[in-house]
Parts: sequence; C-alpha cells; structure tokens
Amino acid sequence: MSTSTQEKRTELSDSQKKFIAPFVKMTKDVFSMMLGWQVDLIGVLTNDSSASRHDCSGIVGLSGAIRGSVVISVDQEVAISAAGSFIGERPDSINSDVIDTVGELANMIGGASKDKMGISGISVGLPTVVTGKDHRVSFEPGAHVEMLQFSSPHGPLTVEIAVVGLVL
Amino acid sequence: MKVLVADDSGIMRKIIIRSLNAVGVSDIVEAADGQEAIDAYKAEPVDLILTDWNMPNKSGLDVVTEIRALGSTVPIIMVTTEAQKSQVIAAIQAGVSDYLTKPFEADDLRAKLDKFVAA
Repeated sequence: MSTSTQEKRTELSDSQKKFIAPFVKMTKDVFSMMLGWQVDLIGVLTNDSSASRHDCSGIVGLSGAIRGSVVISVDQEVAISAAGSFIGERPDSINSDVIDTVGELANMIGGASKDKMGISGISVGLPTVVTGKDHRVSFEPGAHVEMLQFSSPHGPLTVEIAVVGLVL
Repeated sequence: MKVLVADDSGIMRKIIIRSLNAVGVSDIVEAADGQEAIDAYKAEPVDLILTDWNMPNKSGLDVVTEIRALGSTVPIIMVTTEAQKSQVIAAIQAGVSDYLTKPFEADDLRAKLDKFVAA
C-alpha cells in the first residue's frame, strides 16, 4: 500500500472518531448478521504505509460527493470460513465462492456505511478482489487512510477507508 | 413456483437460493446482471423475483422498471445495501413489492420469502 503521507496516531481526534464510526458499526453488523461472528475493533492506524495486509482484499470505490475506496483485507482462513458459513460447506482452498465472499463483504461494508456517513450523494462501485501474499493496494496520492483493525473468531481482518481531499 | 434471483455476486445468489430451498422452492433461475435478469424474465416469466440494486449492465431499478413496463405484476423483492430513504422511495415508485437491506439476518430473508412463497 502506498500513501502520500506517513503519519501514525495513537489517539483519535473527535473528527476521526466520527468519520470511522459508521464503518466500525457496519463491519460489526455485517459479520454479526450475515455470519454470526463477533468482530471487535482492536486498533486504528492513520496514514500508516507500513501496516500489514492480509491474503485477500475486497475493494469498492467511492464516488460522487466524496472520492476514495473501502478495502477489507482478511487472511485465507477468515475468507474460507466466511464462505463456508455462507454456503454451508467449507471450501478446501480459495475458489470462486471465497473470492465472491470477500467481494460481497466489501460491498456490504462499503455500501451500508456510506449511507451513515452523513453525506448524501455517495455512490459505491462494484467490488474487486485481489489475492496473494504481499499483494499491494495503492490509494490515490494524497488520500487520507484510516485502517481499522479487527479481531474475529477465525483470525484478524482490516477495513481501510481512503478518501481524497479529506482533512480530519 | 419459479423464482428469478438476480445478483452479480455469486455468493449472494447462493445465500438466497439456500433460503429459497429451505422454504421448498427449487425451480430457480439465476441472473448475474440486470440485463440477464430482464432477458430471463422475457424468455420465461417467473412467480417471484429477488434482485440486487447495483449490478453491471442494468441496475436492479432498471429491472423493476422494465418488467413493470411489460405490464407484469410479479412480486419483486429488492435486496440491496442501498438504504437511503430517497432510494427506497425510488424503488417503491418503480414498483418493487418489498425491500430488504443488506446486511440481513437469515430470519429477515426467510420472513420476506414466507410472505410471497405462501401467497
């Protein structure tokens, strides 16, 4: 991942808390309602280009009133377990069901969160999924990036929100 | 009873089909985008449609509009992350019969299906 600024914060400002709140809530709701999993927020990294990424990333673009993207990144075990919960049979490896699962998680988290950001006129694009160890997801130069780190029953996951032109 | 399930996400189609199977529906047609859904309905009308909103080619809203323009009164359930009031109103005005927002719990989807499968 590359970002134009490299800034770490240990404490969140009020505006940051307000910005990430819909994404924290909807990530918890998506995993709880769709999969019956409890996921807990364990950390937030701001504009940290050294933050580690997991095996599979689902990406949706944001356009209209704001420009940016939402990325969910999960380890293979999380992706396969989630797909297994959805279809009732655990896949042996990363297959089309697993890819679709990660894409749909990105779609639901991004799509449901944007309606709760208090900004009208945001559109969410169709999801794209990237897999593989050490894969890269590059954001637009100048994007402000918040990486939300969650724990889940099947391993860690992250949700990143990258928005251009946002000052928090 | 024949049901059309339109969603560009294969996993979401499987989730919906699992629920349909659970209420005794096995005659199911799948569409991976809006145009496929419209073409499938024109080729062979069904008794119930579940459609996503955001899909390639044509949207779920286009699906509803075009199928209603055919004079069809088939029940259509929109299953989508689009939850803003203006969008729900737009869908209702286009002619959707019911609306389910993602994320949902299995019981939420089951309740919607029970309403139309039992009808």
